[in-house]
Amino acid sequence: MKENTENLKFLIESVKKGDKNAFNILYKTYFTPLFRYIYLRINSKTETEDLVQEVFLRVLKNINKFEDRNKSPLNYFFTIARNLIIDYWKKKKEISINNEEILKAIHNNFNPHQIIQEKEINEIIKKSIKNLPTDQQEVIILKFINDMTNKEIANLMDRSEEAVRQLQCRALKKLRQTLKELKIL
Amino acid sequence: MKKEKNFERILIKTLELLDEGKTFSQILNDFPKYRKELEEIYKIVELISSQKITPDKKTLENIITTINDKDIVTKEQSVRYLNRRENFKKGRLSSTNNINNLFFMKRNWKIIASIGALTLIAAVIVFVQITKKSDNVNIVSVPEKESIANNETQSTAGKTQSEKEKFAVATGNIDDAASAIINDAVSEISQLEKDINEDTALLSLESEELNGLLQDQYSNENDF
Repeated sequence: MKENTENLKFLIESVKKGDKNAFNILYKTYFTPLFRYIYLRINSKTETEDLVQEVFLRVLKNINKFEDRNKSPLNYFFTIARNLIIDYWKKKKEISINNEEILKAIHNNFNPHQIIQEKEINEIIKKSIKNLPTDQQEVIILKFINDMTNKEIANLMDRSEEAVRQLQCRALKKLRQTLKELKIL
Repeated sequence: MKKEKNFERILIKTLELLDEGKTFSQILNDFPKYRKELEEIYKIVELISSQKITPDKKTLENIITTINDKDIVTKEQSVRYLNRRENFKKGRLSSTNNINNLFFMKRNWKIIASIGALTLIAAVIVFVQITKKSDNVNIVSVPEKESIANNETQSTAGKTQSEKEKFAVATGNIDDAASAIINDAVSEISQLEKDINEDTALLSLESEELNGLLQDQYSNENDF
């Protein structure tokens, strides 16, 4: 996801001046990546829509606090989205199921002789991503779903590019192991 | 174990090369020893990428309508924020800045300022009322004083002629002033004459009484 930071900053300045059209352009620019990012983290379409709306509302409320300081507007949107997801899970008080339990559940319903439907694979992939540690989930979604560069991800997560690559590597290795066990690979 | 460690290193390198823009098939050729493992990774990446859901455009439209209805950003706040640097340059106490602040201040300050202004206006009204009252007291006392003065002049009407003349009107004419002085002197002389006559009458009365008293005493002595 290559964004024209300067144009977006200009848009944000216009929003600050009360230009609604500028904000509509910002919505359109960030809607899909935000939707994908949130959807893959919470796996519910309706709740994703609500959270995306909440992200936009919070950005709009705090738009005056957005300072140039070499940070891209993308960071601003995604930081709010990340915080909202954390709040979401805190509210849900979801007890995270460990890897083994998920694998067992998948194994029990899985018949290798059966032709696995594409839908089922998608479901397994989503569950496997969801089962990764939070920072690995984030890196995988931002990199392979939102097509962000490692530099952008590093900026967003406040880590070095090297650290981001390490996280990607560990996440891919874990996914490989899970999918191998499920004989998907 | 060693192969696994090496694979981790190769995987990191692969991700780096992908970032640099190399294709996956090019990378596979670079690491033939790990071809199988890298192909698995490629498959995983493809499976993940296939999860790219495209949200419905209507969802966005709904979100935009809802947010626009809420209308969070107030123009005043934005203008105030945007002008903050300029205001700082001019100085916080500059009159333009103060006027701007008055117009673009936040809602809670608007309430405080309006309450303050109302209190000030009320205080001014009360002050004006109080000063008006005291003026009325003075205004009422003037005619009262005049009436008292009139009464006094009426009661002393007999002897006011000379007193009135005492307070001759100042016309600014020197002849009037001279005649006023002469009149004053004449009235004083007549008053003096009057006093002298009264004194003489009193003295003659006293001498008569004294003569009578002496005669009585004399006749008493003769009786003895």
